[in-house]
Amino acid sequence: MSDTRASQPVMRPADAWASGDAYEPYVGRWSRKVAPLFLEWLEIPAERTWLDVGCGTGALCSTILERSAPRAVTGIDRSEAYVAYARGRVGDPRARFEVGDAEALPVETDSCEVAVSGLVLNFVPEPRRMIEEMMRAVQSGGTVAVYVWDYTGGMEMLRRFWDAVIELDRSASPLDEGQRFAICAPGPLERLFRDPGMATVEVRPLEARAHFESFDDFWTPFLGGQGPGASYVMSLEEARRVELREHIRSRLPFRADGSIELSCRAWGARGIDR
Amino acid sequence: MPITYEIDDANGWVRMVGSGVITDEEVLTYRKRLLADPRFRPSMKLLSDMRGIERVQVTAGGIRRLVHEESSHSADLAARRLAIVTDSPVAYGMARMYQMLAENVGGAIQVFRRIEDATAWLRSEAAGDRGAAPGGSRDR
Repeated sequence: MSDTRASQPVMRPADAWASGDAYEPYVGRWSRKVAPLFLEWLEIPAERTWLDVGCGTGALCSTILERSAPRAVTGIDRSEAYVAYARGRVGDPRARFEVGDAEALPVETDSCEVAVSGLVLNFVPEPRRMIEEMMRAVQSGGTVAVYVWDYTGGMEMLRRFWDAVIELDRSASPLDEGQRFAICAPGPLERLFRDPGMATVEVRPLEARAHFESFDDFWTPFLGGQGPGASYVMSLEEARRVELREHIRSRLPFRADGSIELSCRAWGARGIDR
Repeated sequence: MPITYEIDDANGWVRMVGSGVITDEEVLTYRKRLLADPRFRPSMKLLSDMRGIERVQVTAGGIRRLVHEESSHSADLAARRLAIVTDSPVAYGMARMYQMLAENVGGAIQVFRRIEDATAWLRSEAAGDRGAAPGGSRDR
């Protein structure tokens, strides 16, 4: 690490979320592994009306349609590109996707029975407002539930990435999602659900495995520019990008066949609207 | 009439007031009336006061249709400054949806919960800056 680099102020690249094609191989595919565990935990009966806040490319909506036999699912996301991707990919007539703000949902009060959100809470400016909006959307006795990555440890793909970044450039530590998203931990999540008045609040880990066929399978999605890690990679000059790539390669636990197996843990939080 | 408007020609403002039940057709019809009004100029500042509405029956499809129609007038709308005020959570959410979808049409749109904030934004130089007020563009 050079002194010059360390002394430069850290300019946080914008957390870009716009391309469904780039998001899927980055974290979309891992979100799809956690979503079934999340729904299994929620145990929502069939024929319920669902709302998915920050639906992105439709990973969670698809899983709800496959596993929870909903009456209807509405996905809301602020990105027109993601909404278009989800509309194109999820053809189920029970599903619809609309552009909207997670903190100001374009839905009627008491209009659904379940409001869920996957991997979005920590990216909204005011998570409390998002939770209150989800509470407004669900009927009394309805379920509000979210999941977020365990950035400080169990989401190993991102944890190993940021550890390598900081080993090369300590000044980049404020960009580390483990530091930025303190809300993604059991205590803060439980308070976030309890404080607005939800009942029966629970937080638990959702454990999946992330299998990468090769180092390229691990690294290439970071070149897609989606999300904080990939946005950081794309903000680097080529020489530093290559240096980071090789540094990460040297620290990954490769198997004999060149594949990589990492833990993929999210925290699930749920509560009942009184 | 659920949506009425007054044009303050001297100051270059249009003040719209919504009341009762607002539907897709009311919004589309009102907009056509305004654009056809000979006193209206695209550079006027628009204050849309929706605090008096009792029920929102505007749909996502209606908003998409509105934005689609506006996209054919993007040159005229490039200079617009529109502040929408509502204290209804549903109307606020629908207005934010409109703001997000209309971002590429042109001009600046902001949504507010308080009339004071809306008028202050319209009066400020920053009314030309999309990100200058609460509720502006956000990542994800």
